[in-house]
Amino acid sequence: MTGSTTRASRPASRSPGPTGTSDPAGDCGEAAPLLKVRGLTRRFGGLVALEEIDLDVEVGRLLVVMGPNGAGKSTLVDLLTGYLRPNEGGFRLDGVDLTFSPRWSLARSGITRTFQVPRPLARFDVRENVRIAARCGSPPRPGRSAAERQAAELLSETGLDGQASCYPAELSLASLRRLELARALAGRPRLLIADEPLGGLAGADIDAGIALLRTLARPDRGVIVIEHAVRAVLQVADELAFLHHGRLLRRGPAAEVLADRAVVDAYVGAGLLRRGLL
Amino acid sequence: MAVAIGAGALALARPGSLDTLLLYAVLAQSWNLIGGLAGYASFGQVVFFGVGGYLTALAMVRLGLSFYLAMPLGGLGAALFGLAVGDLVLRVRGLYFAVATLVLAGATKAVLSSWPGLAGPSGVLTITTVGLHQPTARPGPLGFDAVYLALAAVSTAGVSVLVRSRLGDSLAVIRDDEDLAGALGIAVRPAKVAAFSLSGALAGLAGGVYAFQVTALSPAVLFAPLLSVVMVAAVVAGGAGVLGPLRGAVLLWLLSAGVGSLAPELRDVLVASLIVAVVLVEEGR
Repeated sequence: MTGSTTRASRPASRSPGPTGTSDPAGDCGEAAPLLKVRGLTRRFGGLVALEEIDLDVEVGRLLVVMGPNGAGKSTLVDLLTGYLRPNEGGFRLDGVDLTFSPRWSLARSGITRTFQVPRPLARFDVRENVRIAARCGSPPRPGRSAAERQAAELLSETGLDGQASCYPAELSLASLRRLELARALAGRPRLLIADEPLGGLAGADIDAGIALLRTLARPDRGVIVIEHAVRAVLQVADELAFLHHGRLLRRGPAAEVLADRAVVDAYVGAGLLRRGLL
Repeated sequence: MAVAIGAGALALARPGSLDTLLLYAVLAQSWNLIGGLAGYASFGQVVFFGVGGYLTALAMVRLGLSFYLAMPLGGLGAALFGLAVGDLVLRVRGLYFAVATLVLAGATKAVLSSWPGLAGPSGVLTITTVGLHQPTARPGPLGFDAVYLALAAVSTAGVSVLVRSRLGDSLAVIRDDEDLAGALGIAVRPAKVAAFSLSGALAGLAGGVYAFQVTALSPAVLFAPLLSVVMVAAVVAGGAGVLGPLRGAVLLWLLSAGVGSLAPELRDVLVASLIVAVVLVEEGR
């Protein structure tokens, strides 16, 4: 394991906004971040998917990671959840280096995720899907009946209580995305990573999804959301990180980042490229 | 499929008796743990039966232990064998796992067959049941029925506790989406190896009873490949869960009582067909 600490000397470009939770221990007024990513790099053969990424996520805050297709968003999620290993760099959760922890250990340490393509357990109903995740997640791991109670609470928080007895095949995409969130929350995360939780949704489902996302950051929990839609990003993000070609292009308050010339060029450029106009 | 199950039902020599039914029930619950709950269709499950049987017999013959002490030792030995080889064979899934377990059973049988100190010059290890040196008085047929019944009850109770446990939940996720399991905090390899080892314990205990019942033991007796097929067929026919394997055991027992003998070549073809069919069903699920 290398690099994760050596690069920490570069100060994180923290937004000056209402970040400042008072830190009783430090003089600088900055709390240690929940998640500290330093120099994270992943290559696939000659292709650099993610290069020298530095990121912080704090408890009570929601960081949106945005960027055109191929920017490295999914690679970032996979690196933080043990689905991929970095070539260089690393990350710490609550000060503990978890860079090369196995998947299950990351989940039990408090990093849980949703999947871009929902992957519910088809043989189990919604309630059971969440209960199983509650039982297997981070400690203290509940017994069966306590897990059932936790699942019921989460279904109510995520608006799925009406569908608790439905099987995944009967659910709409919006409900499947909620189930992904409920299951990731069931693992009692310190850091929740939601990979495109609004992907493929439309109209009222997006508004309801935005309302749900706004409830996820808690005093004991930080959140990373991968999202494309500008309107949603502006409504949910405490901070925005914009990736482009595997590099962190800009980072800061969402409105500022989205107004940035380089970001606009990258995003519009990618849009035009997709439409065959560039 | 039904024909293949019928062929599997021919496996044991004395079809239709109560001890056979109860033996099938224990073996079905054994296979259920790894093939049903964890979704790893093992076709070499007889290896545990054979290891447990040999260890039980050796403990009685060489150490002079009571059968009631030797049989749990055989079960424990089979469980440890599962722990030792589990991580290796459980790295592959589906058809590859089926082949790996088949090879494991064949290799173990071959090693025991050529082990010089295992049996006398005849190659047959005999548990003494008469005379001054018998470790335990051999129970009558009812006695064996009672031991098999106790094993079947313990197996079924154990499975019913396990499916409601955290390990049971973990195995359900591994069966349905192994790649997801880690993201939910499930340590996949230990869970699979635990299931394999527990399934080995059940088959090993059954093998111990069978060894004492048969008394004259050779690898051909204790490693009969058709026993593996009985285990697969019972769960495939009856379904996984707690009671499914018992239903399957009854079905197999009824078939085995009704169906006459087939040519060995035909059996081989049916066994192979069953393996392919089960794996295809598993993969397509």
